[in-house]
Amino acid sequence: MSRLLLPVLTFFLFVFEGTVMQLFVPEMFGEHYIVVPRFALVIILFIACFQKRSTALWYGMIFGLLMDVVYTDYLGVYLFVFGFTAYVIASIAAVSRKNVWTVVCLIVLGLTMQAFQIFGLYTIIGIAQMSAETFIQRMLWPTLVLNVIVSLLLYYPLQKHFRTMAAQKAIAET
Amino acid sequence: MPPFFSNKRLVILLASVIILVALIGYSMQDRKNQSFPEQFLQDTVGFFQSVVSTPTHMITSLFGSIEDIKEVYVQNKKLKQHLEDYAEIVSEVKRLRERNKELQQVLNKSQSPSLADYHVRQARVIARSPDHWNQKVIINKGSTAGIEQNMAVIAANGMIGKISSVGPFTSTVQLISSKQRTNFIPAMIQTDEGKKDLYGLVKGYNQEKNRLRLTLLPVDVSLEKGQTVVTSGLGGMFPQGLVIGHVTSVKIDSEGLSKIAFVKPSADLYDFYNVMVIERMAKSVSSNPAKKDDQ
Repeated sequence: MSRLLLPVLTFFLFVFEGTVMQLFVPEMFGEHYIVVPRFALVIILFIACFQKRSTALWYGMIFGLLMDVVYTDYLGVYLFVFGFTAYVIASIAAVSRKNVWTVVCLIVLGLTMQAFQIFGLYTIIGIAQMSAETFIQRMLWPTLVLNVIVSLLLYYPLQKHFRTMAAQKAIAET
Repeated sequence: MPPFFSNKRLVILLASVIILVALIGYSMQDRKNQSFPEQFLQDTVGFFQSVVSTPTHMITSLFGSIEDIKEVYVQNKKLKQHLEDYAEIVSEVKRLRERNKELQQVLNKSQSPSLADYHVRQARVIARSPDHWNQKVIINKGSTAGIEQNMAVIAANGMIGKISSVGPFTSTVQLISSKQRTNFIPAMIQTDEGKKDLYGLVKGYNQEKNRLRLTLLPVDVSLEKGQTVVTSGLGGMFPQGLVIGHVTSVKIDSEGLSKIAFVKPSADLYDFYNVMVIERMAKSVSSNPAKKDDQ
């Protein structure tokens, strides 16, 4: 049961981003700011912080591919970016201590990395026609604020879940 | 401490960059249809999306209707004033229709559907691409409901986009604000009686000002603010006469050879739920040779 929680939660948030959030986003923040909900990526970054590097990489690649197929025209962009970001964050998390501030900092780092990679790749392809300045002011900051609030809300329940999972695993091994 | 990037991992990273470029290249081709795994994934996710979005829409529309009630009184007053004009217009439309029919019969033209004829299918929006770069919307009808690629999609106030990919039960709409290379609409500006209509191409979108660009207009024409831009029906995809928007400003393009009109889309590109998919009745030259033979 608890093994299923993470994939189901990530998938639910992935669907939530495109459906429920899209009803509220323009109304809440007005026309000037562009807020991108990245809740599935937040969960993937939590996994990168608390679980094995390979698990995070798989989660990143699978949900990146879903993102590519369902919401975009170009295969491979999110697949690469989510996978790469999850991998790098997991590598850093392996050598850092884990409390609420370091984890949130890592999530901010991951979200920023992801946003710049997507912006860069889409600029190369030609569908992002926005100066880097406008991108940072109108899109990056509001996006980070929303997703950091969500990750703070999710931190304690998820940390508890990861601990119980680790404990179960330890019991199973002995 | 695990090594950050060992040699082996660097090779894997490079290989995956190559695969990334190959995948992007593959998907940048002008593909007619999505591959089967893509359709399957899109439909499966689409099922969950409609499960989540339907109740949410019910709740938000409930709140929306409560707010609407406040405005109803004022609107009602205004509408009553319009109603008087309405009867007049209805009778005129009826008269014109009959006259049109007569004239077409005289010309023996009633057999083949004209450019402006279309067939409407209703659909609902179930999801929207959360990242801002891909201006795409997913609707709850697919090829089983008869929807095909490149059909026009309109909301209550005007055109919002075209169908870019179709699965059996869901399909994806590319909004007119999308910055894709393949996103253009043959359009014309409706002018006053007696003057010729102006033809151009709606191509490109300015995010900050919320304006579409209507290009390829001749330099020597005079355009006015507020003129209506509609689809011209010439590209072979859309029927004639779907409203796109209104001209707000005009400038001469960088080469000085043609004019560009900036068009404010008449449909709200953020707030729509019920959409109509428009199938053009007139035969098109390109795309579907098999279907053409059936007719």
